[in-house]
Amino acid sequence: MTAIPASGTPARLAILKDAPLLVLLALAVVLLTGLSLAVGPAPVPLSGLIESGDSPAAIIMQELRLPRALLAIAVGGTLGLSGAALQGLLRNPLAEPGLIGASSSAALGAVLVLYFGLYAVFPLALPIAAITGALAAVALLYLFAGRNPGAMTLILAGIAGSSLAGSVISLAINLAPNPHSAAEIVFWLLGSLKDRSMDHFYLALPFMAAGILLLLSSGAALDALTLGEDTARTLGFDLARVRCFLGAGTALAVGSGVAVAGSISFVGLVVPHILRPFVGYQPRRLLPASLLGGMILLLAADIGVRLIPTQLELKLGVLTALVGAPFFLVLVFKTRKVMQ
Amino acid sequence: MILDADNLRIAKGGATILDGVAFHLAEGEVVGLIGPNGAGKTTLLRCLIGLDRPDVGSVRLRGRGLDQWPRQALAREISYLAQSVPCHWPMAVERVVALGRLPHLPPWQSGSGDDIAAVHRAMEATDITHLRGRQVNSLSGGEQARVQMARALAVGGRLLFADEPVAGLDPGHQIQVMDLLHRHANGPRSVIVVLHDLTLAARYCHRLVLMAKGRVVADGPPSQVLTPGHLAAVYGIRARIERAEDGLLVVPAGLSQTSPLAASTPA
Amino acid sequence: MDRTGDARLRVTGRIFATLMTAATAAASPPAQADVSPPPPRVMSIDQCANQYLLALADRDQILSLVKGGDETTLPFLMERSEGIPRNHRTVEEIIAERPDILLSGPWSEMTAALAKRFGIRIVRLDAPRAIASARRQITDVARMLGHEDRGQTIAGQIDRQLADAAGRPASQHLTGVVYRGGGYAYGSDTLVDSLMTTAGIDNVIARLGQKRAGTVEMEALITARPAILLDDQARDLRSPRIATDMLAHPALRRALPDVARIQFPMAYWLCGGATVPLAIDSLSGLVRTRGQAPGRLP
Repeated sequence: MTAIPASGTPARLAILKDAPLLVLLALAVVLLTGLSLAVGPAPVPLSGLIESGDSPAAIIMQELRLPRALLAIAVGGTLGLSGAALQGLLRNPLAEPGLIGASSSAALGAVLVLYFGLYAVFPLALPIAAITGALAAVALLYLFAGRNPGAMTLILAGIAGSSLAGSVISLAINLAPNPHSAAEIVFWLLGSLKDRSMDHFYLALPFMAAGILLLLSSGAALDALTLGEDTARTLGFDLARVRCFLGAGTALAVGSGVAVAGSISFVGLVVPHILRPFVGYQPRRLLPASLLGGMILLLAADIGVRLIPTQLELKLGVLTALVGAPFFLVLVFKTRKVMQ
Repeated sequence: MILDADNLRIAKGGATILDGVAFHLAEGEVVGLIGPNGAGKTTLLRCLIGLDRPDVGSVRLRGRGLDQWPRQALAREISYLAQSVPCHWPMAVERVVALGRLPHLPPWQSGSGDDIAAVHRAMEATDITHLRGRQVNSLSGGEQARVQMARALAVGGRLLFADEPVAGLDPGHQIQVMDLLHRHANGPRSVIVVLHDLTLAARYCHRLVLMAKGRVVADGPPSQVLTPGHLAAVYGIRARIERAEDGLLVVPAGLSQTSPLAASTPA
Repeated sequence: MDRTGDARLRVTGRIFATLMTAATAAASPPAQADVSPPPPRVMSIDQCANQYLLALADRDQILSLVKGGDETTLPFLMERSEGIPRNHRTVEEIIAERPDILLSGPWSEMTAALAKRFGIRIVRLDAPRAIASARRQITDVARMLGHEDRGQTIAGQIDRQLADAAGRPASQHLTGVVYRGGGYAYGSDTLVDSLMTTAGIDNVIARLGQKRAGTVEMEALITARPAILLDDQARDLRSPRIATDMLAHPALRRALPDVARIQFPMAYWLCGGATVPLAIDSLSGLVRTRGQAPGRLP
């Protein structure tokens, strides 16, 4: 018999429950951010970050490495978070922004803006188009897969959405005025954080922040959804609103990320899966942990592409896919065994 | 009347599921919803808690239409135990039970001492305290059913709706669950339970509502509802009904002559 | 950016003047009318081969040129290509035209292999990786076309330029880079590097140890501090600009405020053909004008 705590204990912020884990993850983020700032082809001291004046060290730190690290944090965090949120919403560990087609649809939106030269005239068109693309993919998923999709339906809906977006992107590459434009589109699609500027960060930040808030605010509903939709409704949740919030949040987060970094897949799959046991498999507690976990994974991967010696640049999206795809396979295998 | 509904009509996919059903519930009552498969019991239950919206008619909780209730306030009034509740993630028993406190939590916050106490009470009542750290999916079917029961109790709603809570339980746990429901209904708290076992229904319910084909056939104390005439008309069975010291004993003895099932099944 | 505009105008003007001379030379019929065998009839299924043919062959030798890519490979030979039939790189067309020689390239291997089975003689042009191999390919193609003299003219020009380069003191060299949207640059083992060096521009990418063409980190570029930044993807080519338009990056503006940004059409080095002397000429012109400019970097 356990002692029952005295009634009247005040309510605590939910996030405090995992304080040790979150502090640990946050420390890793800080550490990796420092490492990300320190790694690069040019030997530059960290002091360049606060140096005034136009020394190469100051410029490299302030204009290149800082935006790169910040974007890794922002993009990785939103990808990890939206993966966790989507998995909670669909109650399926295979859900991920890339696998449900949101990333490729966002890429399609971005490619169209770039293709027609809208970006040069109106930079905001880039994130807006990418977000719209991602939103369309989420809507398509709801339409196709219904409210409670099984693993198979989910993957099929994702394939349908991805191939639809992929075909239009292929058309853009096909009709590119010269091979170099085609190559540019292809390389951009591979996903990278190399040589971005603070402008890119500021462009994406407001959308990402809004997305993060929408996703985090749905945590309790995701917990309730663990018991199915009916029970979640009787626990006081408006599921139409929850779906709306999560769809919009995912689209905002993924769309703005793709707009500045290209497609980076599998972060949203790998991170929640690794962290789930540490938060007692509880969807709500998984959200802040995955936010930090995504930051860690992408920071580490982005340091990795700089450290792995290749003659030509190794793209960040390629590295995450190389690691993520086998992971996905194993996960499909495990899920299939459970579902049979 | 804490809950009342009249003339509920609902059709799904062209079939009439509820056809002018009236329902009322007083404080402290245990009401059993009985009837053959497809009679509309579950749909009635879903209408009463706002999961399904009747095409015609309305449900009033404390004199106020369900639509008028704020979601969270309504959720605090109603504990709902669905027929088979999935648990999509392998969470610990205590965490699953604590989900019942969600209607009480302000946004972004976890539970206070009251919430934790309610969770502990619910686990004790269902005899699962010793399982609190186990993952739900590692439990037996009966244990899982009790976890869901505890989760529903943890809500602390004054109305407890249970849809076939004893399905798949061994007799010992059936009695344990029914005892629990019976004890739960006291003071302002009432219970509405869908049952197939007529003896359990007779023993634990103050009142039975017998449904068939979307209508209420009989509504009253068990002795008035569980009559050979009703059972023959609704279930198509011949039943021996004996008055035991602790309630009625209903023993189905065979299909009645008029049963539609009689043609295909040898008696 | 007035300075950039000026530089670009000067370069383009010079190029046009030189090319017109080359084109006229190629267009004029051979002076001698010997009993040598008739020049072979040639068909091109490669965009760079188009450039070689237009610069080195007689017009009536050219059966057809492959369609497409003119903006990139032939911007200054467009006029000369008018009226010449275009093919779509199909074996059907090749069989119908029955050329004496089929000029193919790195991107048309399969077509060429199939055409070979029908008894067509294939000559494959490669993308040269240095001036020496470009020079060899020019003279080889010219000889094959029956116009050895034209090849020798261009080779002579190249030789003179190489001699000039050898005589130029290293102190007159400038540092430079070809850097394009997307962060793409050329390393030491490329024709571009060879052309730049001959014109007196030290390729900073080669100094960074990169051999091939590919993307480079902007911070490496900033550390290398080039004096000239050439963008070989001319804006007027109506190419989609990708989000990472590196050339507008604030770090580049801050770190290299005085760098000479010059747009220099890719056509000069894409094929390594008759454009080689023109490229060297205009690049060394750049070095001369930049060398006199007050903002010159050491």
